[in-house]
Amino acid sequence: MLTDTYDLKTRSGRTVAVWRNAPEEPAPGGPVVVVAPGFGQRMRSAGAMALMMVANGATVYRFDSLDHVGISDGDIHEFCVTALYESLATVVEDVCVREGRSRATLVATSLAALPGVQYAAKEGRVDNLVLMLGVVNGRNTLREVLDADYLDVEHATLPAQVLIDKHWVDPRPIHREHKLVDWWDEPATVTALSNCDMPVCNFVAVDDDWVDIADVRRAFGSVDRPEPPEIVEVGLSGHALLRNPVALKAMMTDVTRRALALGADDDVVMPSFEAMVELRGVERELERAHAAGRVA
Amino acid sequence: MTVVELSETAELDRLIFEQDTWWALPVEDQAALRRRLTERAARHHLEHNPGYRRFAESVGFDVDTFTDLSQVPQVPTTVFKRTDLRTAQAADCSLFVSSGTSSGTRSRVWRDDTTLQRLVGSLRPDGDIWGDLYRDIDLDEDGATLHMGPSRAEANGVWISYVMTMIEMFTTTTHYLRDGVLHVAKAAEDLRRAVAGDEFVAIAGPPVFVAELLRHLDDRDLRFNAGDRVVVITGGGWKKDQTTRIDPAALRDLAVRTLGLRSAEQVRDVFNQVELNTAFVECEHHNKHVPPWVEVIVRDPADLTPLPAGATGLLSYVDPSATSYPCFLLSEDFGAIEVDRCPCGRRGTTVTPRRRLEAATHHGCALRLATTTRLG
Repeated sequence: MLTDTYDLKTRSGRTVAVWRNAPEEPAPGGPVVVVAPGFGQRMRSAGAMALMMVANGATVYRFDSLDHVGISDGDIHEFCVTALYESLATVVEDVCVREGRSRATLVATSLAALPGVQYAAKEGRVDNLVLMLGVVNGRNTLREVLDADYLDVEHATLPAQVLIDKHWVDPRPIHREHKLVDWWDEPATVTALSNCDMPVCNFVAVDDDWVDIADVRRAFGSVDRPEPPEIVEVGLSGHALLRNPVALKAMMTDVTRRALALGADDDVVMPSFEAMVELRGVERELERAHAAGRVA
Repeated sequence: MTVVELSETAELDRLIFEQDTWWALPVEDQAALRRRLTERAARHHLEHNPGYRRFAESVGFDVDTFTDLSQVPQVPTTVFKRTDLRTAQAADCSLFVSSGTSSGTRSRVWRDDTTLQRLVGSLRPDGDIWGDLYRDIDLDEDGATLHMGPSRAEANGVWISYVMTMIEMFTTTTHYLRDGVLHVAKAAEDLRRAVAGDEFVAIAGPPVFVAELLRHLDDRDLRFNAGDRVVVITGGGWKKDQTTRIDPAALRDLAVRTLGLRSAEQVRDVFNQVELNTAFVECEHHNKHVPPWVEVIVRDPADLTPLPAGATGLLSYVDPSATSYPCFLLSEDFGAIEVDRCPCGRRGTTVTPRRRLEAATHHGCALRLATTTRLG
């Protein structure tokens, strides 16, 4: 797998770190995939996914979101989905230019589904949208995670920070963006999905405590378009599926098939466990070198 | 609506990788869980492993009617020293061997990716058993491991070395055993720098090598005041040879004294052996907890009948987490189990391995069984 690292500037002048992975001998016109990280995930969290997709012929772009973990500008303490949107929009637009394409496949995980769906609906740059444990009702997810609904409370009554999946987050940026965009609410997702002109698929775990499968069924069932978006259910798993390599392997086989538009009879190449372990160490160093190179 | 087909063992994977609440499960529920998971694993090995199937038939085992996990045919670990007992194709597996220091002959165990991943899962640092050590520290971001052992490449399939290198999955790791030389002074210098930089450091490795580092610090009067920023994780044998055995409590004391740890709770041992596919991790009370998918049965060495909790006998295991070989084992180790007795409050079984079956005890049933059992 060949890897390039580089930085992009968003329209607001902030820096987004990007990694490009490609097969050593890429086939002309092969699939191009952009992977948007879920909450608390760095681009190297998707290393195994990139390895797998590249092994199957794709060129894969990953990025660290603004105001998030990783080496792009900002800190996860200021997390909000509009920063994730700004990051992914910058990356997808650049990818289309670099690869000479008008569109790319977007794989969005967990909370990245909220801006991912909005972007796919508005910008015409996505030809295939694959969601993994994709959140469709952000309000319910926040309520589940925080045991409270802060979106509509008085700004002055917000706590200074809340704990989301081991990360302390200032709720005020989310509260502020909710006054400007309605993406945290399910109807906004339904409307955006209705406006998507590409295949859409959401892989959901049946026992996900972040993504109520009933929300997904309702939201996807409400979408008004000729080819309805599809739900793929993964049994016996929850949101922690992302750290369950055995279930993930089963899901990733199907995700890769969808993202790369492979046929049902096409074999999906699976990297070895050894290769994945190796990649973890290599990419940890790569991240360090990327950040250090920027400082130099 | 499409459904992703998971294997029949998806319930086991969820337990290993996703859940922690099982420490609170009543022992009866843990037992029911084990029974369910073991039956599935036994069916898998009986169907795909002719050697194990013949062995099971020879002892009259019927997977449809067995009533107790102690009836599951357990393979003496010595069998792995003379037979490749594989349920999967060799091409789909990696071969791991024991260090061979205790008995001279090496066990050979074939593991496929799923089997390996599950072993790593039993060690995952976000597990409840590590909770008070790692707290909310993001090991991947803020942690560093000084591994007093070889890299995976140098481990060359030696199991316990390989297992310890799995810590690389979770945190930045430097290996200090290179080309057969343990670089203790370099490890001490890197430790000094990491502690000065307020990094969270895990010192990991076999007890004998970790002890070398601690003695190096002690002999040179190099003292740290690491508080809760350093932990020590040991795994593997406690002796280099028959004359040099390290006492776990003495190692903990030495670690607390030289590193300036807050308490001996920051020193933990992990029990595993090449044939066993789950790691048993010590809690803060230094009891090795058995995850609920594994049944540990202590057997009378004379007739292999199961002994009650508290009694010392031969340790045997029923571990359904291996797909590439039947991890139903009769070991050569003596030890005892306790149930629901640990003051940490975690429910279930704890195990205390005590000593290896010595040559002088060859009259025991285990070895007789081992020498008469034919597989493959």
